[in-house]
Amino acid sequence: MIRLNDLDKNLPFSVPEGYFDNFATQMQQQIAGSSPRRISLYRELRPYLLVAAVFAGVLFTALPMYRQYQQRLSAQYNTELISYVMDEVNEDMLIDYYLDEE
Amino acid sequence: MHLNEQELITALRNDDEKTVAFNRVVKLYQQQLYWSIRKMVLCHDDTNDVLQNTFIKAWNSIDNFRGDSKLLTWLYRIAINETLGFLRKQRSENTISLDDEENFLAQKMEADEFFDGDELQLKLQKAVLSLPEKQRIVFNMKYFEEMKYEEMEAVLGTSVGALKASYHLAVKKIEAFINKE
Repeated sequence: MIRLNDLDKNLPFSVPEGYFDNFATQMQQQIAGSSPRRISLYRELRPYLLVAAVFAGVLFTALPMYRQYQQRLSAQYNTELISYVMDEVNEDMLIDYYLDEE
Repeated sequence: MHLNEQELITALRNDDEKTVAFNRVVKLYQQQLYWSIRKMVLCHDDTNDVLQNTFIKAWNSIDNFRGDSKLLTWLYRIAINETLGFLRKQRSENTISLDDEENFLAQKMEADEFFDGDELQLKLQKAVLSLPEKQRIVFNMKYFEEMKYEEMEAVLGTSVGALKASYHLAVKKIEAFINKE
């Protein structure tokens, strides 16, 4: 049974001769004269702006719909209330009421 | 130019010293990052590409480095992202599934002129390749690089407990793979 601790930890990989010296020089040339890209405030804030825009969109669409729904609900309630009252009040009661008023 | 980490970070924030300081960063950390990438992509040429992209990305976002973590930890994170991105791209370009990637990478490694392992080393590399991608990273960091779990936590954003469990499981799988035949 071979255990991991018994094995040689050295990696079986190599690199071309002088690779790391050349790599550093190569990178130096690549970045020489090029400034790091500065991320504009807009780019940094873009995700938050996007979320805010979506939220505003949902709000603007939903608000008129909600108002319409409320109005419909209220109109329906009024109609139901009137018909309920009318059902509860019979003609005799109404006549008595008007006679009392006179 | 001998600077400690804090002086290096200060120099990186100074427009006049930035380029020289960054070249220092490349010289300081190129080997650690190279070997970390190489253990994942296995082939020298690919490693070279990923390492270049890592440093270019680091250079382009150096102004965003706030110094909350160590410079090497930040570079490691970029290198891991670049490595995983490279492997993903390689899979999609060669239409390889995650299951076939193991064989694809093993063949590429054996064909690489900068691979010079014996039979047991080759078997160990193949065993490591049989692990899921994230577990390979954990195993490589702990076994080959002998990183502390706390350092790994800072790089990978995974809790020490989860890292220990993942490494323990990886060791079991690798030993089972090596002793298979």
